[in-house]
Amino acid sequence: MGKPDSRVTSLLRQWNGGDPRALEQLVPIVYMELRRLSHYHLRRERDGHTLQTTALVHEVYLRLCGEDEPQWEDRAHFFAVASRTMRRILVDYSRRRGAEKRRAPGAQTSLDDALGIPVEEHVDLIALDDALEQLAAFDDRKCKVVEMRFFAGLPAKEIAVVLKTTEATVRRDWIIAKAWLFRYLQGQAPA
Amino acid sequence: MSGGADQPNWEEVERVMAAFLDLPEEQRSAYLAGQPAPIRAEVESLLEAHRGAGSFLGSETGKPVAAAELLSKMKVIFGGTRTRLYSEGVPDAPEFAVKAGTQLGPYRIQSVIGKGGMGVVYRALDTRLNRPVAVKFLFDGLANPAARRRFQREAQMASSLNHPHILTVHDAGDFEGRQYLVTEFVDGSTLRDWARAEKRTWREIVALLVGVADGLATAHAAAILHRDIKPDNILVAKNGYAKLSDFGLAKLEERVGPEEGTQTLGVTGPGMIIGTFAYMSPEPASGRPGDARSDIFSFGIVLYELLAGRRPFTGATDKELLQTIISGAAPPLGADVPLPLRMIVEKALENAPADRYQSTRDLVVDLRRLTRQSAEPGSATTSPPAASPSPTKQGWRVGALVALSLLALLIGGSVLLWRFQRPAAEASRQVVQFDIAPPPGTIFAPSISRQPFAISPDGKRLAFGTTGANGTNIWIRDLASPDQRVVPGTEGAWSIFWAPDSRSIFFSVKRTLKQTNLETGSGRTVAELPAIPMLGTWRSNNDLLLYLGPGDAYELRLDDGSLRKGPTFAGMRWPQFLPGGDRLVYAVYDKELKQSRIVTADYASQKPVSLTQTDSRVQYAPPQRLGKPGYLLFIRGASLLAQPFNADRLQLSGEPSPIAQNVIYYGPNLSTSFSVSENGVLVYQAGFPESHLNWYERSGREVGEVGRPAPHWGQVRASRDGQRVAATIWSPENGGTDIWIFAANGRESRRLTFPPDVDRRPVWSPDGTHLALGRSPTVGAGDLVTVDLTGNGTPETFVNESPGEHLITLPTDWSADGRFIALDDGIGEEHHVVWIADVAKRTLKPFLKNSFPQWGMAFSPDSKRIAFVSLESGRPEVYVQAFESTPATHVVGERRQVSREGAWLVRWRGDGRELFYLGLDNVLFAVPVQEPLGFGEPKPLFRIAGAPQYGTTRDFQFDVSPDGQQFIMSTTGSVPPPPFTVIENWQDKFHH
Repeated sequence: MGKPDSRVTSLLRQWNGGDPRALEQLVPIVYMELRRLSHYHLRRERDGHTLQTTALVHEVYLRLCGEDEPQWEDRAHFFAVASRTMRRILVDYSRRRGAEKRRAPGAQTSLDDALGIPVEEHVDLIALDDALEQLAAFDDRKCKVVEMRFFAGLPAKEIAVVLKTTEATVRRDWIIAKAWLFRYLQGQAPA
Repeated sequence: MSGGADQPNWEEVERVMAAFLDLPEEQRSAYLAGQPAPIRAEVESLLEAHRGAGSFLGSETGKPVAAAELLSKMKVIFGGTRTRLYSEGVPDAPEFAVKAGTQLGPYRIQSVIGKGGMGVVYRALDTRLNRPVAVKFLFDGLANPAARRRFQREAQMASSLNHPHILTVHDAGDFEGRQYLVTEFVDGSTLRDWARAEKRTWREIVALLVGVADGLATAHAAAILHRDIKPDNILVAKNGYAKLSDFGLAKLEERVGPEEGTQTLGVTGPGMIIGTFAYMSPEPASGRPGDARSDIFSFGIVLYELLAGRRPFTGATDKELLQTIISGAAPPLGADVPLPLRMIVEKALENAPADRYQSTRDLVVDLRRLTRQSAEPGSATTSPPAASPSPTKQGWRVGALVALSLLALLIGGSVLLWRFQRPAAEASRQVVQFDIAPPPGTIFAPSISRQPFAISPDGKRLAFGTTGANGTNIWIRDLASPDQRVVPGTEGAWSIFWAPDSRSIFFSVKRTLKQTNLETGSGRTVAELPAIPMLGTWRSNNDLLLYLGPGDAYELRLDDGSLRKGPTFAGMRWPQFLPGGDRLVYAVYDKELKQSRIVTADYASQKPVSLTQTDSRVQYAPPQRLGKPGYLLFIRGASLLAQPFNADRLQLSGEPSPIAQNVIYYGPNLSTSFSVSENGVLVYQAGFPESHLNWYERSGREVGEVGRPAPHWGQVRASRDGQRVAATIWSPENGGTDIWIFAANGRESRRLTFPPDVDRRPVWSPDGTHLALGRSPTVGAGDLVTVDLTGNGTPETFVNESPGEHLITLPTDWSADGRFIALDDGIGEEHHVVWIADVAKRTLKPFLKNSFPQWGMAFSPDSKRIAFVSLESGRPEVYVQAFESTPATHVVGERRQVSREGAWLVRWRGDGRELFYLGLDNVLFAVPVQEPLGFGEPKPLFRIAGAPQYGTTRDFQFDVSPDGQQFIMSTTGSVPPPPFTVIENWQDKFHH
């Protein structure tokens, strides 16, 4: 475990306190750390280890903020930042590879031949990113709920803290957003 | 606001949707109905999307969803993967999705399960059978008709594979120009997830994969290759059962790639359709065509990866990886993997196909041996009493493994290797044990109520029966070589025994006894018997005794062919002459003790001497050397035992010692599957084969499975409402059968009866509240029993006194008016009498009784006609006769023959408009019924591959769904019995 970066904690507090510039400084730090760690883990992955994005984000948090007396709000806000960052990383890479391969829009990046297996449905990240943009255009909160839940695995309770709303609202938002995104990705959503 | 002016206000939509979600289920629709139309339409649209979304973006509830699969995506995104991306090759493929609720024929799409390389996979409901299925859409590369035809053919081939460890393909079709496959739904995960979930021991890994290997071997025997074996294609159900999926599809994909016929392997880069390099064998990796041995290699990689936690072949780039596969050797597995297993993996991963396993069956045999060995690791009961202390034991093992490769080289790939070196004093003799797999395209003939294999008296050759596309045949295997050959003129062979000189074999084809000289190849008919000879035993080189059934034997002289009825010995079963030919050893069922005994008797005086208890027939093995004992071999408690026996004094000594576990046996007729030579070679089959209970439609296509794979016993009956199924399953406790009840369209099951009795032939009462069944002690006459399914399930004896000493009660039908139960009696054609039980009076009376056998009576749904099988013409045929019951008696009226070319089982359709009968070659026929006794032309439906040969058993029963559109039966006959295990010098395992 590396030494916690006290800068990050204070930036989080500043952001939480309402300073938008804190976020601007925070994101690159989180971004770099996420990238570095994911590369590290992906190298290890070849040796049979696995790591989920949630775990990855948690690890980044621990590295940047330390594990001593985590501030509840700080932690939640960090995850909010990390989830957006994770989204960006994943989508950027997806786009870059897509461009390299002249990938068809909507084509699958999924891997598992999961015949008969109830695993999570694979999602086209570029299409999802686009759909999230559309959603954010008229309902930013739902977009954030999806980001935090899907990309960082944040529980509803913590999402509620970040968004300063209730857990029930977060759960409803999640259902509605998911339905909207699914419909949009199926090409059914209103233009 | 999401759209233009024509779109409803989003805040409003959101508010209504949120309120809707918060309402209790029953109030929701009323609430929604009260909303303005545009809002309602939008909410309904979102709700539909919500239902269809399924696991989209992760689950609804529970733990925080961490996009569990994102890691694998990241692997793609960050460039760490080599998994193929099919869609890359079809840049113009539009997004394709099937909405939840879409009906594809009988399949209703429910939700997306996943998106795999092949395309989208949906969970769907088969609305006919009300069971979940998986519908897998293949990616859109099948525009051209040739590719489409190939797909259909592949699907057909894949669906022809019927194996518990192969994902069953039920159906195929197309929807909006997309091809899809319908397969069984497996509730579980992939092998990859299974391996990741927790640390698995090598035993767990082998136990899981041996079934998969067996499935692969079955496919290879049918000349079907998998071509894409990898952990993602092996599904592990929650009950720990592994299934190989996507059979033959890899081949298909290859062909339908965008540049058909273009070899893109070995070139890496974007836009290429590539194989799953990590599991590829050297042949395709270097552009050569693969065969079964390529599948074996890929399987080896999977096995290696699971055992080692890493892949055997790696490379920084795809190119490097391919080079490693083509030229490299896998790093050795660690010492935590036992040496025999390491050798199996290494043999599978040999670079040159010629150095690998040449047949997948051999790989299965090796793996199976390993599981058996590990299951009984030198337990006290399996070790000889005087076994040497453990330090040397380890030494044997090492010696064994050194010897093993030499042995394998000497006798060839399919012979296996297990060598226990004796301690120094007895070093000259070795216990050698190996397995023999069936010839390609065949399975071993099952050993119920017959002797389908025999080791020659000199222990050099094994004669065994197989069942395959060409019917039943006898093969000869020289134990010193891997070669096996079919014996001409043995089609339809039933039981086999050797001549005393080991030069010719005798076998029965129906009631005819034949002989073939293996030296000259000449064959002849020896005798015609009144029933099928099940066994022959030699009194001298010229005189033999043929066993036809309990207490039923004939003496045959070879020189003049004279035949006469032999002594009965009061229920003697499976007799064998002891050396000298004046005394017999056999089994007999003791009614007082309700158990079977081994008995010896002087042939002339017939005075029996009881020796010990048994659960099976007995065989005698003479001493191998002076001063050593002979042995009697028999089954007790599901173990094959050997007990020292002095054939001169007719005395057993010492205690029986177990030789093998789970050797196949069948309690009700004491048959079993082992054979000993005179010089210390023992052959047996262990592990009872499992089969499926399947529904078939009129085309013969399998459309559903009931319960789980089990040693089914061929008797199945559906309740009159079609909701439940009763079937018999073999019970290892006593080698008999018990009744189980299943939901007609699902996995749920309930065991209804238990040992010590043998229960069989379930028939449903018309209202489905009761089952009637035949209950007997392990062997012998039985009772008609009814079970109230609404109560506590306690069987109730129908009549207090069994009306006949030898009545074997085998219920065949319960009339639709509930008044009568029809029963068969007896074993062997000459005993067939149909009985009727009066349910109200609780009486049991003979009904169809004649000089010729009649059986299998079924009441018409109006209870006014009966259908049955009769031998009155000399050939079994189905007849229908008017039936009326008066208070005093039953009256039969006009009768008509319904079947044409012979038939042996008959059932009515639920409305009486059709009859179904099974012909002598097991083709199922449908006959239209015109009132009252008019019948149309029989129309063949399909051949029941799993049905036994007519006249060989009365344990097979099929049934019809009430609408006459589906048929249920067990696939018992088509499930391969296990390989033979051969032990040379087996007596030296018992060093007294």
